[in-house]
Amino acid sequence: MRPVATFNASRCSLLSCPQRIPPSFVALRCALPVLARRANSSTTDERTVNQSVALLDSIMGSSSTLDLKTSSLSDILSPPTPPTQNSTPDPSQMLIPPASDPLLHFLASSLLNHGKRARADRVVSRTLLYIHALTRAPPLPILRHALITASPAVKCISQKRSGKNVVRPAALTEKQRIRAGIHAVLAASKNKSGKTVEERLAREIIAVVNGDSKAIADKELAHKQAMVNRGNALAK
Amino acid sequence: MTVHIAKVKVRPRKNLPPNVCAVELSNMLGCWAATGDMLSSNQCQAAAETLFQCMRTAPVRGKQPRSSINYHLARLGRNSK
Repeated sequence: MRPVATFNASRCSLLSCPQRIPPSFVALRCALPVLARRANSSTTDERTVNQSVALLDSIMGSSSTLDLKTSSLSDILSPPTPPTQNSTPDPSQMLIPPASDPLLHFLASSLLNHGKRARADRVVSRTLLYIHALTRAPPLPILRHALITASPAVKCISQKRSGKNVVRPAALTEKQRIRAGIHAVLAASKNKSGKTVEERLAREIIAVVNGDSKAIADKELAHKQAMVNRGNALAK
Repeated sequence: MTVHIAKVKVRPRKNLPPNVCAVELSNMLGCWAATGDMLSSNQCQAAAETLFQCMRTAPVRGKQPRSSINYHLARLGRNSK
């Protein structure tokens, strides 16, 4: 991803883009198509959501494999709320959109093999297409919701102290969380039906959104271990 | 009769990564224990969001410097012989 003007690329967030970029910190938010937009961005998203909901209502009981009620669908598809800022927007700051969605770029990087970036990008595009084909809904919010759901919040570090193994929970950064989530989803997608990587990955993402996935079960197990050892969290 | 060790060396302690956002982390883990909401979807969502926001804005601390105990042991052992 090319660095965007006015911010430090290494600290960019994978999950959210603001409407304006303050110089103090960065949060990139890319919900649907990446365009330079200002105040009227949410109306386009709302219109798309409403159209998708209407489509789903009209074809209820058809080949859609996604078991979503309208309320949960609107929860997933509603655009993420921007960070609350009390100051008025500075007209001298120009919103320059990034070259690509950071989350999709990161997903492609995880699928990268032998440096074949174009192939990885193609897999990601086709995965989104499969998700849309199976759900008849905008695929990007579903993908975002699935990766957030599958991402663990903590990891357990095992250290040998005084002859015994002491397990210490440690918090993960956003990038570490997303990476762990992507790896869990990719590993769980191997058991899904489908001839290609993109088809299996799409089915796994839908399973994560539905709530029955090995990735979520593993996350819960890791969280349980962290909770059991929470006494070691503040120990040095 | 004094014991002579040719090369005095200790295995230095492993430098763990610095404990950033420890308070928020322990709050979230305590919430999980109290409510059983491991996935932070209902009651513990606020605590999880606080931790995530802390991790986003916490200062990036570099690697801890390795212990120089072996250098001092070698230096003092050389002088005491």
